[in-house]
Amino acid sequence: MISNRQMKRTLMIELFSTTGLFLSAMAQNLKQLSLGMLAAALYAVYFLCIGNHYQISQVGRIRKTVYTVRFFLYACFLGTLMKLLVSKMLLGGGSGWFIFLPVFLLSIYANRGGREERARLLELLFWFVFLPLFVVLILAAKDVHLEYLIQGGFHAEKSIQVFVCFSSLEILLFFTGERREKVKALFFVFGLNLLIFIVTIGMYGAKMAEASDLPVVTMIQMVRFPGGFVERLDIFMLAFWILSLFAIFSAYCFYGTFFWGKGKGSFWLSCLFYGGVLAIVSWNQLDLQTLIDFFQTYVLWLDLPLAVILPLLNTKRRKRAVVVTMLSTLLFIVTGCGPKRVNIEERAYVLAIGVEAKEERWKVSFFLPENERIETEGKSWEEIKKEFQRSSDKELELGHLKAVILGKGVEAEDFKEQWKNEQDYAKTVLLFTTQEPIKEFEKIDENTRDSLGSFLVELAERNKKEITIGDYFAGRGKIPDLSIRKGIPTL
Amino acid sequence: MQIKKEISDELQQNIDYLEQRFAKCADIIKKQFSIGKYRGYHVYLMYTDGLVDAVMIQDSIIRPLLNETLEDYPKSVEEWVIESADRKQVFDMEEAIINILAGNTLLFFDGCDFAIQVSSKKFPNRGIQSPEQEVSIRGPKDSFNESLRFSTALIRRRIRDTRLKVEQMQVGVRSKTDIAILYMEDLVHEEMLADIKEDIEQLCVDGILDGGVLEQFLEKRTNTPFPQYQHTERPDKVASGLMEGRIAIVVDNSPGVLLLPVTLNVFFQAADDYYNRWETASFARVLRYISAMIAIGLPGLYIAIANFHTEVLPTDLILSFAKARQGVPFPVVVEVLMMELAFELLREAGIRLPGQLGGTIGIVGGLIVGQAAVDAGLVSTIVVIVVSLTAIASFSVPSESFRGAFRLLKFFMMIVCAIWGLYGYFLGWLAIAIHLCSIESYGIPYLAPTVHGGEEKDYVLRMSWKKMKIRPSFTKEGARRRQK
Repeated sequence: MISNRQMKRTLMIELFSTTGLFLSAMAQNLKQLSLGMLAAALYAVYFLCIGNHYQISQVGRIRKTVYTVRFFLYACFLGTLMKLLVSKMLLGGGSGWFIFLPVFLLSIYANRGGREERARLLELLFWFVFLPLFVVLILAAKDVHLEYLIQGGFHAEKSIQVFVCFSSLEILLFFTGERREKVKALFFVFGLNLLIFIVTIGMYGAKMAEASDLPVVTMIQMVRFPGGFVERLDIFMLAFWILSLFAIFSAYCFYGTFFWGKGKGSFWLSCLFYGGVLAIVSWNQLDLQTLIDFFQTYVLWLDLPLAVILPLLNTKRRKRAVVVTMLSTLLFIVTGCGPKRVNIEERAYVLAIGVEAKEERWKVSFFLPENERIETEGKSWEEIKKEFQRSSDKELELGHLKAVILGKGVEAEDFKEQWKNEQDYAKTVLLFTTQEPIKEFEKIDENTRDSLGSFLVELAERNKKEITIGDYFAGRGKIPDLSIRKGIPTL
Repeated sequence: MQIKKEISDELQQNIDYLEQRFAKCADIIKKQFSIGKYRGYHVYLMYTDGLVDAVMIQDSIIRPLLNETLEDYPKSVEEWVIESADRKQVFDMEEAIINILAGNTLLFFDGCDFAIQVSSKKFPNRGIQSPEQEVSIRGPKDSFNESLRFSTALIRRRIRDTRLKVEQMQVGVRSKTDIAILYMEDLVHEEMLADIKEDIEQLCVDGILDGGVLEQFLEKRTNTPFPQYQHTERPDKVASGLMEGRIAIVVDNSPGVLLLPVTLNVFFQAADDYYNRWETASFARVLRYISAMIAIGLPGLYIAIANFHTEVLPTDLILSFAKARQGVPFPVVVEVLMMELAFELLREAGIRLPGQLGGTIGIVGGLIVGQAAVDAGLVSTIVVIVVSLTAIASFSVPSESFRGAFRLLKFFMMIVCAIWGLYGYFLGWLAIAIHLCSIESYGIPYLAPTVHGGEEKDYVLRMSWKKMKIRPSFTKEGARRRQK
């Protein structure tokens, strides 16, 4: 038996992880959000009302099969989502199955112990998932502009998309505990989602949502941790969010198989379920936007109606539901497909970038520590990066980039177009324009005994002209202009 | 297989049988006397040399027997001649033999179908010494030793309550090791007690030479690095555990006592946490939790950051790390693995070497070889710092058996971080969390009270004694209140 506290925390994590991630990408203002959430609340009430009288383990084979297939698709969607997020944000270069494999094995491990062990795990994860999130929300709250939340009109389509985000509310059916505790969990999830939406859209408005597939991730990337010990908080935050995605992914794997009971048949069914998830997640080549669009359509037109109709077709057949999971022999193929591992001293730490354009070609200067400067040319950012690797014995590292200077002939919009898919740099990198030749900035180290990147950061801070790339992408602020006086950049 | 044999009233039959059973046992003392006014009765005395109090045997058994006239034989020898309160009649030959080997003296009389067993145990022991593994600044300084009776006495001295029960049994087909199960009758979960007794009774092994062997035979899950019994050498810790409804198992010849059930939390509790002010104790406990995380995760985290995610650290710091690694011929993973293995080697060598040499190896290994390795460019300074910090952190956890788990998990984390970077780091912790959630100790989840609810005033923080009014979930329902 799981306790009320365990049920409440399990529900909070499982219901929150996907809704929190997508809500701010779906709605652009509070009007759109509130209508969608109202519909979701009614949907939750529906499941609360039938929850304690309806047990999936008691329904007939056909309905069980429908549930298994639906949860299989959810598991595939969430697995692919995790794979794409990790690949984009944490492990660029790793193959899909290599990234997904550990999550997959862990979900088998977590589900093998049954509902009680799962509940214990989620009870434990509760603080690790929500505490850092609250810290981020508090840090971000100071930049919220409430007027952004009411800009724009009402679009039914957006509200429907919000409602679709709450499709996971169906898992309320799997909990037979006190209704009051379930309601508390729902209040928490709805409240937290609202808070995340307010902070995300309140920081940069609807433009942010348009510029990014997942605006929440961008919001997290914009937050700076006080004290300066951790330069990029977003990586840790994303890791915590992946823990919560793991919770809902493993939940669908669990709920998709446990009601078939024990026995050889259900064992092979579980193998088929898990094997299928591994195969589909590993080898599908969908990008994030296609995945979201595809799944949204499926949920809206097929899954949600099924979720509502299935509990209404009740039968009295009873069977004990047990988890049967075993898939474990894949680890041996781990070698050789991993992300690129580069030692700390084999990286070229770019502190500032200067860009100039001439006849549709970009000339980019990479400013490195100890007065080193590497100049490359190319038609696109990808070409420039490749060119850099050809001329340097070290791996290009943009994680410590402090500033980007847009020189003569470079249109800020072109730059935005080129950089919007680049994930290696922090969104807090400062942006400048200049009419001076970029070459002139090379002398900065001699004149100030500081790297160009750090110098520009302090300069902007002193003059209160800190416009970050994140600001610019969200359409906020004017990019400050740099000039050179007596060999030193000035604003 | 032993054949059950009754003691015969023919003394010579008993002697023949015992001579045969104890043939070629030079440590067994066997002596026949003639006693009584006319030296008309015969007695056969047996004991194990070295395990008995020879003076007591001489003064309280042999002298009275030789001096008494024994007019009312055999009633006189049964009831008043032998000057010992701890004596009893034994009718079974096998029981008599076991008692001889356990340090008692057995007397077989002419015409009696029983033997008289007199307690004369006096085992060689090293006295009561200070604990070596669980040192505390404040609080009692005595520790258990190899004698079961001394150990139970040290506990009884602290709990003078008839509700403290001591049940004794023997385990081991050959070793016949004495085992005592201690519990507070009104606090213990009866099912748990029955469960542990059944587990012990069902054991069929050659011998139990230490509590560690018994622990491994009794543990429910063998595929985990985490200990499922708490081993302690401190009587105050055992007394405190008993008063929380836990069960203590004392094994003869083992200088420690096993406490069960356990949760992860108990391994972070030091004895002096309860003797110091709660603020200081809580701070120390928080430090121990953090140090446990460092001990398991720091080398892996360094590998993940250095190999995959340099952007999480400030630029100046990362540049200084990169500079420190210039010229090191090995990749970061190999460098850290090499240093960690070298440290484990030093630790192992330090334990095996005799006292003062053990300390020397630490200094030679840690300072001289470490510095030489840095100077030679084999490892970078930052890795030396990471490995040292990991070692210091691991030693701050009070339980040695628990620290053993860290040593293994540290390498697991290093491997997953080398493969998947920070993603692997978090998944590694997730794997550990899933594993911990699956462990139970006699029905109590290993992660209680985090995942099970219950009393949290003696958890990561230790609240003041006045607030700790409820006993933890080890205690049976209905007996949880310990203060009014």
